[in-house]
Amino acid sequence: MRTITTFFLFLFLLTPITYADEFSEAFGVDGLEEAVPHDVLETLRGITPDNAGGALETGFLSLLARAAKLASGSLGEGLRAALGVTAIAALCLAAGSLTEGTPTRYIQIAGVLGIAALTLTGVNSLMDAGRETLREMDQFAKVLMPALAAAGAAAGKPVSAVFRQTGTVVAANLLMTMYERLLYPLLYVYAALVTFNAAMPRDMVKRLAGFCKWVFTGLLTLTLVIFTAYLTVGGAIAGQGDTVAVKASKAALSGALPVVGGIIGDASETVLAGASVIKNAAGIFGLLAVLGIILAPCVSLAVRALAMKLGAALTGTVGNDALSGYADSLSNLYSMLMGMLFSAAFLLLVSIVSCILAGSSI
Amino acid sequence: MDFLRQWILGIAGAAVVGTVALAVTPSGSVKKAVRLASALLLIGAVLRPLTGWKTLDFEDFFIETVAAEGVEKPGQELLSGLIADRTSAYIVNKAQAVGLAIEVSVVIRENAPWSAEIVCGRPEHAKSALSQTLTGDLGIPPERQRYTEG
Repeated sequence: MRTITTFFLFLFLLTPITYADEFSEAFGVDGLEEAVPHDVLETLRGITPDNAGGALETGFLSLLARAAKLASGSLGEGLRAALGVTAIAALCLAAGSLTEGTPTRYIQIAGVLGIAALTLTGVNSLMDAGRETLREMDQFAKVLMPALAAAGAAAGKPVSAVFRQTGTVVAANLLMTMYERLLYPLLYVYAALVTFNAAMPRDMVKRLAGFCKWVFTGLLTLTLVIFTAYLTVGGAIAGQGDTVAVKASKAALSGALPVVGGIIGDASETVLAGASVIKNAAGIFGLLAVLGIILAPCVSLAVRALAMKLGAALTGTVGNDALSGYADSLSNLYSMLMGMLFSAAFLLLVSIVSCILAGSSI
Repeated sequence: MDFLRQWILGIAGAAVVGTVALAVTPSGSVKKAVRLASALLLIGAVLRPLTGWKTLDFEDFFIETVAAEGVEKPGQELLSGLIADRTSAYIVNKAQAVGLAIEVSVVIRENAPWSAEIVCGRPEHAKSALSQTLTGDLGIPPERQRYTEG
């Protein structure tokens, strides 16, 4: 009996070293690195799915350092845009006082066109960058979620793993479809409406622009609230199914022959423990990778939004409320685009954290 | 989803057309008429979907659900592999205890040893030494044990 016990103890201790690569390959974790953009891997400085288990803090610090570097790089451009908007407002004020016979409406139109020329080309390139970021996140999720689901199922939570992956994939597809067919066109419509509203007197289409913004934020918020509720409530119910399944398998094991029961029990423990380690490491790597993917565009958008807010405030001091309101609306445009990227990242992050926190048991 | 986009674009278009028309119209009774026409145009654009309502087709939003078998398969394969490795190691250990050098191939079904093929220089000796162990300890009956010379 002692020999058998020693034999199994030896095998149990040897298994993590022997089977680590096999586990990674079986769950598809070895393909995660290729799915991450190269600049994100450089930011993470050598953190891989194999060693990410204890690297969460290091990864966050690397991302923060990169964010600070990006912000300082974008700040100059943002300040120039803010000062440009203020200069245009000041020029409009000067033109209005110098040309008494000219209706102020035409000067205002010229001011709006000037600000639009200064900012909207940048908006277009940021929207393209946002599209590319969403595509990268979608491609990464297509590799990460099946790997986490397989590892989660092997870690003793098969029902929860399938439930979580199904919900995430459906929500991700819904969001991507919504982005392409509704939200991106809405952003363009909003940009057009606020530009037109600033050029015309009496805020003619202000409420319409507000409606577009309301639809935009409402759809995003609703989708994420429903998804979070699905994961929280449904995940708890699905977890009960896992508990029942584990109890049933324990009962089956106890009825087997002692040696076979020992082999199966030991192998099951190994798979559970190994899968749990792989799942947590892959999950942490996934967290850092998703944050790394949205880092650059979100920092750029945040700086631009702040710069436009500053421009709106400075323009207000010059005394042109219409142009100040227009700059404020452009700041909202940047914020809406940033919200779109955050919502896609939030969906993935919540799902990944849910996978990591789901414990394993036998 | 397309109908939502078309609807919002229609509203925006009506608003733009109405605003431009109001901007170019001189003040007076004509402007009042143009304002009324613009408002009616905008209301028509807002209410347009109600005239020919279609059931929204959400097939684009949903994909096939992931089969549970697909998610559990890697873990099951790993478990089967580990059980096969450990069972083989146990049989080899037992054979070495009686002075036999063997190669073992174990088939696993439903996470339990199902059959074993043992290759060694003296298959008859191996059979007499190991058959009872395979049956008693591992639950592999004699008809699923195979001993070949190699």
